[in-house]
Amino acid sequence: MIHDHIVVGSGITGAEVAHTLVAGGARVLMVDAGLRDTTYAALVPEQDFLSIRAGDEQQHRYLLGDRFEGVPWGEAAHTLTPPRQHLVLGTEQWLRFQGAFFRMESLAFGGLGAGWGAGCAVYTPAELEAAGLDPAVIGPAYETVGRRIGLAAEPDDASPYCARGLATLQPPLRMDGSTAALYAAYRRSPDALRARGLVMGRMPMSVLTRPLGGRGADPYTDMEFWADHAQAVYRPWMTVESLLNDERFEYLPGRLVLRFEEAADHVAVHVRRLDTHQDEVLLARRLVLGTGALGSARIVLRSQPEVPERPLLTNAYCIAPCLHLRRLGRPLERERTSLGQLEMFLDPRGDGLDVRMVSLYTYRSLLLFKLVKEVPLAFPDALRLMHALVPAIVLATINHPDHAAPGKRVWRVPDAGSPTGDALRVDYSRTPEEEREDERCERRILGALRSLGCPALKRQRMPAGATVHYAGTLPFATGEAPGTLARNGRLAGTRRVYVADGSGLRTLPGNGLTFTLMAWAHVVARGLVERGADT
Amino acid sequence: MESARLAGPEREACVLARYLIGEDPRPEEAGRYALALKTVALPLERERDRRLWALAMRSTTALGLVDAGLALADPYSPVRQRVCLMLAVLEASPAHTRHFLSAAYPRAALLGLGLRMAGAALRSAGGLALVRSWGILWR
Repeated sequence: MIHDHIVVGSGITGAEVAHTLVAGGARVLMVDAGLRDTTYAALVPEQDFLSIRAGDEQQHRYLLGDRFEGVPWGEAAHTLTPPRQHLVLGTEQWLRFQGAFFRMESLAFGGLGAGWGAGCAVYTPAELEAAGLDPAVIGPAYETVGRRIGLAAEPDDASPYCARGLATLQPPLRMDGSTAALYAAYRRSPDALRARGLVMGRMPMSVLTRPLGGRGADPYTDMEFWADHAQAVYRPWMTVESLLNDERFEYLPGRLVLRFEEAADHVAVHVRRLDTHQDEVLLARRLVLGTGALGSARIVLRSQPEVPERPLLTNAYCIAPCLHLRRLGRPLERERTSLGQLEMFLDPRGDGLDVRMVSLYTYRSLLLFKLVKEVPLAFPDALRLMHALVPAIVLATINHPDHAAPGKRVWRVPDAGSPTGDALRVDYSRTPEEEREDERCERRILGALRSLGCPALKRQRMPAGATVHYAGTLPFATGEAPGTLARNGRLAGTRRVYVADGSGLRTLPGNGLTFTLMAWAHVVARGLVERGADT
Repeated sequence: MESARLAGPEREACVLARYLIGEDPRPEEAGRYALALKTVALPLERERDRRLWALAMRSTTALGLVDAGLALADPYSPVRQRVCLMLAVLEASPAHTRHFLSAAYPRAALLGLGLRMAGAALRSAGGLALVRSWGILWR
């Protein structure tokens, strides 16, 4: 049997491609590893964080994990709460990786989108052009996707950097007291920051503040990192679940796609069952990869041995815990959200390029011990200190853009210990010029926060890759250079293989990439619908 | 829990809980700490860590010095990891939330916090000297 379309992956781009194809009347087979959390999801009560902490005797199970996997140790990096740790289940075995680079990939149902922070940044036209995307095409796609998943936002100073052109919006999330006070300080004299190239405002969030479809509004329980009973935050698995009701959609879980071979009228997709390790071959008129920039690189490098080592982009970032002095002694309110509530953007040259994004978080539901262990004092002293300071702590995460450079590359190597016989190896280092510019921008940003009464206590550069934003492994190009994509997502050297994730981006803006990837996936799939099944 | 009658990880849990929050752990919390040690498998492989741990378990004063010293000299040592595990166990229990969830306090309380931090700095200095002197003074 030859399927019309095989879509690989159920994450943020795979789900979007499948939805757009099915909505356009096409038939889709989604091939996915599809691992799920069977341990913790049912344990988390439908209560707010403070009520759970005060009363649930079982809280240790999901807060710390049955294997204490929620108690990280060592240098801080991106860590997942126990209910989210299934996102990386099986990746050490099946997606082998080498190199001094923080990598997070997923074999979970819904992919890494199940742990996404819900920020939906619209890239500026200059950023889209630089990345190789057509603003005239991507712009309407942002609106289409946003309308479907539900976006909470309102126009403000930050809109030119993250919400340009969005029309259908729900009311924004309520800020908590600390964030609202910081925003009020900015609003009293915004020109002072604007003169330094900085603005503050709210990024659109894929969080409902009004019910939409079968999903409920955010209940402000401060539990977003642990559970979402209302399904207020959009996750790609929701799209896949709804597609399962459509007879044009078929879901095939438990499979890892290894490689493909193109024939005259079809693509042969070689997959391996995760349970029995048996190999299978599936046939399709068209294959669409939505497996992330690393996952797609892995499949392409296996399928096209002539493709040389690939470039790799990732956002460098640092975390700066800042002390909001006016909030000392005032605890956070019960009803709040753990998600990012306020954003800053630094446009260093005023041209909308190389913009730095700063997400501001207040801290409570990720537990105090994770902060305490980072303080260079004895634990009881650090506990007293953080107990007093934490309601006034604002975590500023500064995201930097990335550009291709010779020291940023990924390639495939043999690995005898891998069930696939290979691994990806990454070599990644930012150029000295980039590091100097990052340093300059971080100083400007932290200076601005200091002027708002929120000085930084420290600044911690995170390991390369720790943003879990990866892109640029199969960059857009004209012609048929191996390992590149055409502007419609078609992989060079093929006629029937498309890549709908971030592999094509030629540069990676500092704004979060997830929403742009969804818009791009929509564009790729819509193009396939318009061109029909035979080309 | 009567720590004198306990042995092994349960006794360690008692010492650590008193050190961290000034309260005895409930039996289930001590058991959880013991399980954590087994699950996370925290062997003290270096001679220095074994000696520091043995010293730390003698009294909360010694534990405070070892902890403070390692916080500066070797913040991710397995000795501190054991302390951190107990802290996490205590935090994820409804019995001790007041030590972990913030409450309103007057600005004047910051003065007391400042004094405590001055004491903490002294403890760090003493602890650092203790940890660094291993191999020279008390091997």
